[in-house]
Amino acid sequence: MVTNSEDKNSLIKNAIDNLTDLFYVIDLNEKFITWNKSVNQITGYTDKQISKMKSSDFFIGEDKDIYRNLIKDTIKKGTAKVKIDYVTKSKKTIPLEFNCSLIKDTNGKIVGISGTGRDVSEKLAWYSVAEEKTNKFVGDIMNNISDPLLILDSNLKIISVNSSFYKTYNFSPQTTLGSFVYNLNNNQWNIPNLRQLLEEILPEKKVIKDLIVEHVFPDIGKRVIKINAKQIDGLQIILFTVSDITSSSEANLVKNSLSLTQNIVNTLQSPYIVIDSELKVISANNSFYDTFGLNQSEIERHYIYDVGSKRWEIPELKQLIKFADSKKQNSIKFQVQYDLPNIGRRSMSFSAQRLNLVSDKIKYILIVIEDDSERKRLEEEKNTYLSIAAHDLRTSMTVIKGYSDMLLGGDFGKIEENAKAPLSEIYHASSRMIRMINDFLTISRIEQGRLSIDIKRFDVILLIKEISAQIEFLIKEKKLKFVVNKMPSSLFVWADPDKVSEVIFNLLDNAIKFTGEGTITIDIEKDKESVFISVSDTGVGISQDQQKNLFNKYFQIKSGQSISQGKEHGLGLGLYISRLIVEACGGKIWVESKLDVGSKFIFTLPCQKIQA
Amino acid sequence: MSKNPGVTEQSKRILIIEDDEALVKMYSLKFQHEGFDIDYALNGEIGLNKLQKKEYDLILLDLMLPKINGFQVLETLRKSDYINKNKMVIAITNLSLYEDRKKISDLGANGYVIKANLTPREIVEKIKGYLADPNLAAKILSQ
Repeated sequence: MVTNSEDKNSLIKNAIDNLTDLFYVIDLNEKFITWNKSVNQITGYTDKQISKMKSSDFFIGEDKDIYRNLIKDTIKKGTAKVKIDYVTKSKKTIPLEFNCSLIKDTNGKIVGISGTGRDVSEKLAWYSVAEEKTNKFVGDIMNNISDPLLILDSNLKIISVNSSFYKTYNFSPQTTLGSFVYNLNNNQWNIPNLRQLLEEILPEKKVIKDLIVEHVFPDIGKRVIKINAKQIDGLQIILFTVSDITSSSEANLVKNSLSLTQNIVNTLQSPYIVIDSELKVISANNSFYDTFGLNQSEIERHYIYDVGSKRWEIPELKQLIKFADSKKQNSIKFQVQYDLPNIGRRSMSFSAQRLNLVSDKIKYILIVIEDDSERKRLEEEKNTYLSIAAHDLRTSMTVIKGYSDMLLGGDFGKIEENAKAPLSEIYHASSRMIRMINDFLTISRIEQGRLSIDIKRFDVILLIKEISAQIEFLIKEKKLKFVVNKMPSSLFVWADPDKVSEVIFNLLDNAIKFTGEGTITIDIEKDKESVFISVSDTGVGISQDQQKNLFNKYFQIKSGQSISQGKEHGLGLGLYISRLIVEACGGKIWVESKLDVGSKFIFTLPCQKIQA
Repeated sequence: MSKNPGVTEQSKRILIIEDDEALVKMYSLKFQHEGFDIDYALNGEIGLNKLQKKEYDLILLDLMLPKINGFQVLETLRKSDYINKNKMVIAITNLSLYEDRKKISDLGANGYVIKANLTPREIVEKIKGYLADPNLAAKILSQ
């Protein structure tokens, strides 16, 4: 029995000295408490020296930091390990795997750290043997694959190929390994756009499946080849198979479908092109050549964005890459505005439709291009004409309305009693017509995209003060009370100040229009994200039913009151336009209202710039 | 509202600068009925010529005019100090956007009237109001 603690310690020391691994215990200041002989043997330090050292003193440079991190990790997590290539005093490198654990006393208090260091040079030697074996194993598998297979590194240099590759293409390992794939054997593999396929399409799509290419190889003649490629990101390699399908039925199938497709597209009058799932143009119709001034050799077998020596580098065409890959979408449409060299600016609409021909293996995309440029020009001309016509029409209507009002008012003498009603009809009909023309002009302005929003940072308080000053006379004219609630001296928002003015003006204008007597109040509040601007009135109010559609296009309040008051305009388009403006600025607009009590229109504007 | 010429405004001279003859005729008729002394010009150039030769109490100025447009007329008037000599310029226009209103007031107009929205009777009432209280109009747009 070991009874006293000294004996116990010496027994433990004997036991740990027998370990080949390094073993030591340090306190939290890294001072050594105990260690075994292996520590002396590997580090070459004496017991006396070690007793004065910190455990990290064994290491220099980067290794010291790595070791310190190990200690930190241990304190944080309880255990940690790390591999350090330890350089001994005799400049010998020993790969050591360190494992450290916290030592706690019976109360759970941390008293030190125990560490072991194991020489793993043998283990590493085993790994390198295993790696060699694995490589041989992979090589065997590759050679059992009957199709030519290449492994490329991330620079598209050939790392390895299988024996079938050498057999099929008559290449030697000397000209193959380490070569760029498209430089193979004096550029024999300079298949048009293979570089692009591997450098641009593969990184995006990761996989290229069953791409069928016809190519004339200088040595072996015309071949139909099928390419499959897969990028394996973890290993930074690309697996690449190139099967010769020249004599297979698949090649015939391709030929047949190509001619079928060609026949279809040639009968069509709009410009059409057919591309394969890798976005390579299979064929185009005559209309395409005519419209875009391109010839067959500039198109066929080129990637669509390469057509006509990159003249078609249209950014929108990138959408086709996604589309080609998508399993859900069968067709997409998109608009393109592009300056085509030699032709000029074109406005085109692209409709791409997936075609599954003959078998699912051959997937084509049919793209119909409609050149809208002429239509757009005519449309603009028409809009300009309509707008001029509408302005003239409105002036004439103003004259009709004016005279009917003057007649009714007795400007030209007393009116026969039975003529009053028809005259009044003329007056109201012309007023209505003017409102319709106003609406038409506003809508056409919006639809022509002339509602451009220019977001800036500005002081909304200043703006409200400006508008209030401008509108005050209208309010005074109607003998209404106008209250601008207490506001901070300034409050900045991100929006279009001119357009926001229009909104505030619209709201105030409406409030004045629909309030017979009482007060119009403008108020401003703020929370973290938004500023709330409100215009309230004590007017006729809006029913629940009407509130729902209030901000929609063409909605007009049906209010007999406003007509009997002889007012020309209802709520009409103003709120629709206000909504478009507020939403375009990133805010919201709504109404709180009760019939015969009044309405409160509230809209918000963002305090921060909204990222598009 | 008085319809008898010669009650209050008979001596006020108004120049209407407006290119639509039918409108000019209608406005002239109404203002004459109300006892105003009316002159007109069918474009901005004629308008400015008349303004050099004669004094008017108030100008009704259309903005979309041939040759010299209403904005240019306003600019010229402002530079010549015409507006500051207690003369009033009221824009009669269908431009109702905030930008337009702001431009009108920046250029020194004293008020504006939306043609399509108001009948001659209403316009006359408004003009009478402006003439009766020049400060009201000045306050509206001089901000």
